[in-house]
Amino acid sequence: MRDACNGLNNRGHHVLASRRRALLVGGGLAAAPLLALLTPSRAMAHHGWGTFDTRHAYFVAGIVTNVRWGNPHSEVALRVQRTDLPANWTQRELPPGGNERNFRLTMASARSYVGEHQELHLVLAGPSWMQRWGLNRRLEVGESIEAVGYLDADGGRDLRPVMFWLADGQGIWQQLTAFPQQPEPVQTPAR
Amino acid sequence: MEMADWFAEVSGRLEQTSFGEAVRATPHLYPLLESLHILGIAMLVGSALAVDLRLLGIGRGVLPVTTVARYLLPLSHIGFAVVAVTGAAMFTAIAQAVVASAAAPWKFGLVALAGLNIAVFHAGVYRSVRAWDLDVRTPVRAQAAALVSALSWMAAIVAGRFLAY
Repeated sequence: MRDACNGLNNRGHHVLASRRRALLVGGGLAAAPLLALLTPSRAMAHHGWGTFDTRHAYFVAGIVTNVRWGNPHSEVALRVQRTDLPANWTQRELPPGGNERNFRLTMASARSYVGEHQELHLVLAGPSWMQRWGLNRRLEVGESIEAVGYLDADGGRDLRPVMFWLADGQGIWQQLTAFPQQPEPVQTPAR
Repeated sequence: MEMADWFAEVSGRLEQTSFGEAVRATPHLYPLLESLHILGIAMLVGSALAVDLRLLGIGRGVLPVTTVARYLLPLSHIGFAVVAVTGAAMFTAIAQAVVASAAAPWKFGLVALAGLNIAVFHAGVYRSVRAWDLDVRTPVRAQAAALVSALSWMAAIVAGRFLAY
């Protein structure tokens, strides 16, 4: 009887110790990949703004030359035709669903695109967000759009618009997650 | 360089197929594929990690290695099938971005490493499992395989997340 009790106790201890060990080993193993997240990365190109330089906004207008519409996000190639800010720039209104503060910051930071690329790769929202922001159709090859947004910090061929405008003037918002750096107004003498 | 061009060309054509177009454009399909992909990962990596922990000595006194393997490895195989099918479907929708991503060689390399590790383990030290099934310290080679397995699967998940972003 005593032996049986001891046996049970020993077994209980064994199981407890084993559980503690399981927690320790399992927790340690699970923590290992988290270390990788501590190193900053440029991989977050699409959903977040992490790889884009959000200090300076650039304006481009041009012709859509390629469209890959759909989930998880749409991509469009734009042949740059015009980079001067339109005359009505300061009168433009916040597109439906947009963020007032980020709209003001981006509009004030907007300058002509001066990069060397004649064709830019635009990273756009997926169809369901497009719909919420008022665009119920695909962009088509050959149509003209205007866009203002931020260039990727690594080569500047990717432009991520904060908003874009169709030929009929309809503005479509694109920004959802926070900018890593505050956009700087274009007149800043520090630049 | 030519190799990269070839990949870009083929992936570009792949995502223009009607299948790639359907994956992108069918309402709710893409998020559904993502959900199933996660479920598959849970089955695959969850059961793989449980087996790995047993090989590292957790539950040595109560759980025979062969029992753990018999019940969990089939689950991980189903998980792998789900992950592969949903992953291939999503790949066709965004092939060019995947091919261009620096995370892609990491992800597929780590999955290949995990697979190679499984093959080496089963062809090698696992043959003598009867000798260390219960209440015995697992051989160092089995523990090493468990560690490689756990780390490569977890790192593959991390690389996969970077691939998606």
